Amino acid sequence: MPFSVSHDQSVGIISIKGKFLGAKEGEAFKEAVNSLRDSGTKYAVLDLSGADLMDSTGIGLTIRTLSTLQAAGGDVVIAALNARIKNLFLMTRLLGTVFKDYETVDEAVASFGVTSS
Amino acid sequence: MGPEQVSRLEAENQRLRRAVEELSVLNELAAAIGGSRSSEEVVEQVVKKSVKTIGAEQGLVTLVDDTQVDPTQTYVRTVSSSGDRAILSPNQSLVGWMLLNKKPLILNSPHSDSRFGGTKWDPSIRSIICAPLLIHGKLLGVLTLYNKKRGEGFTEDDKRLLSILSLQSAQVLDAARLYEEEKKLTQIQEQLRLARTIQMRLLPNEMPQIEGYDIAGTSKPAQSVGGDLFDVVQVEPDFVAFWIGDVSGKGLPASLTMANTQAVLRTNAMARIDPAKCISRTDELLCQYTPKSTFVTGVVGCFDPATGKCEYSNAGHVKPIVIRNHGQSVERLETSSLVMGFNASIPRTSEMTNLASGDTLFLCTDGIDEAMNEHRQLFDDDNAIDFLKQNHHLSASDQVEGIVSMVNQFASGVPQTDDITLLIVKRN
Repeated sequence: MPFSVSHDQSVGIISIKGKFLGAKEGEAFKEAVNSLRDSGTKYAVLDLSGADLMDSTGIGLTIRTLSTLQAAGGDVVIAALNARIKNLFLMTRLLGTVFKDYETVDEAVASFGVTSS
Repeated sequence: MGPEQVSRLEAENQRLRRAVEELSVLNELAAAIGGSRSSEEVVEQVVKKSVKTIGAEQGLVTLVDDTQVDPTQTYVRTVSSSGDRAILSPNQSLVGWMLLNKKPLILNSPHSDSRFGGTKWDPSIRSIICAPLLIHGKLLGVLTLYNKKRGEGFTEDDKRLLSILSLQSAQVLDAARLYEEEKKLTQIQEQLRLARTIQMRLLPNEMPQIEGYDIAGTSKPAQSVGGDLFDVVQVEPDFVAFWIGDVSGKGLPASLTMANTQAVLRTNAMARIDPAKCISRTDELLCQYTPKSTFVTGVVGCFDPATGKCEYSNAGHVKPIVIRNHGQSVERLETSSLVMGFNASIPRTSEMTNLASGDTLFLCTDGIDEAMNEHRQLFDDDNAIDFLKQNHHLSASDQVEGIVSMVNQFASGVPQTDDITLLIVKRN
């Protein structure tokens, strides 16, 4: 699997690894995000420290993740973008206007200010 | 001849008669299903022959759908009944048992059989015989017969005969299913070919001939159809509209959004709507009608050929580049806004630039710098810019071709993963 889900306190951490090419992993990824929401996790960090490539379908999935958790009253931030993926987010103008990004997962988790589940 | 010999001869005679009967049934079945090309026909013949040969009231084949997550969630392809009774439905407990045991089974007292304690059988069922349809150890389905017409119930001879029938049937059924799958695949390929033809017609076949300008573009989908779009339309002598766009994702889903976006942009451009408003309107429609995970990046622009005055608006797309003054300098048009399809309330602005004599406007989709070679290195679009600077004297179509071959050469056989689209507007 190119992604895994864990928790830091009440924040879900979705770690994406290698090539995040959405067409391949799309359905499993959507299900994982829905499960997070259904289990009551409203805040999530997309940890991209292990991701080296992302395509537009991958970006579409990150947008869908944000929409899903925002609709549940939560939010999603991005952590540890490499230069190439950051350029993609900058080009699409999603960074800043839609997604906030942080250098590390810890900073991203702390940004929510939630401490217990 | 002693009584022992007589009895042995009688037994031998009976065995031979059974063997002849079995051979004759198999022969009939082979003749009946041999010419069947569809699994429906095969199943129907198998059920009819089995019901008649074994002497049952009803029979059915339950096919196990291996695409289901739960293999016991099955569907019946055909039911053949030899009597007037209501047709019995397939029993999930029987299919479940067969998935585990994969061997023939007789239930002459199903209502009291301890192996099926929790099963609610139809009250009309007195006896059951079933056999697996196996191919290479995989269960294709179950052939079940209900209610032996004569005698106390199904016999071991019936079981043996049904096993032979099911073995023979499974092979023919498997061949018929493979044939059907192949046919479906061919149909899908044909539909994709048609979809490609339709999509190619949505893209410009030739560029407008405008005095003092040389325009060329191309779009190469990574699959049969793609999500990239572009066009150049001379709406009026002083208004030439152009755009390039990239729908997230690839293949058929992206191509549907592509067709829609192309139509919306064309309609707005034909009405001389300014670029920012074109993007806003497209954005509104995409937000309304596409899923949250689908978005479109794009640059929409227009220029007056006489003055070279050019207006453009960028929605999260690769920045347009202007190679100035016959390759002397390069300008990236930096201003951009959010992609379309996510938030229609985002304000859009049109920016101004100028196309002077000797300038080349270069637009592309990110398929260019996502092209990868066998060493997993990515093509840098700076290479395309250098090419344009060095080859400013070439015609726009030669420049387009040159960049496409550079990308192909770089990838050297590694399959294209993203759609590639280029648009070049040169002012002579």
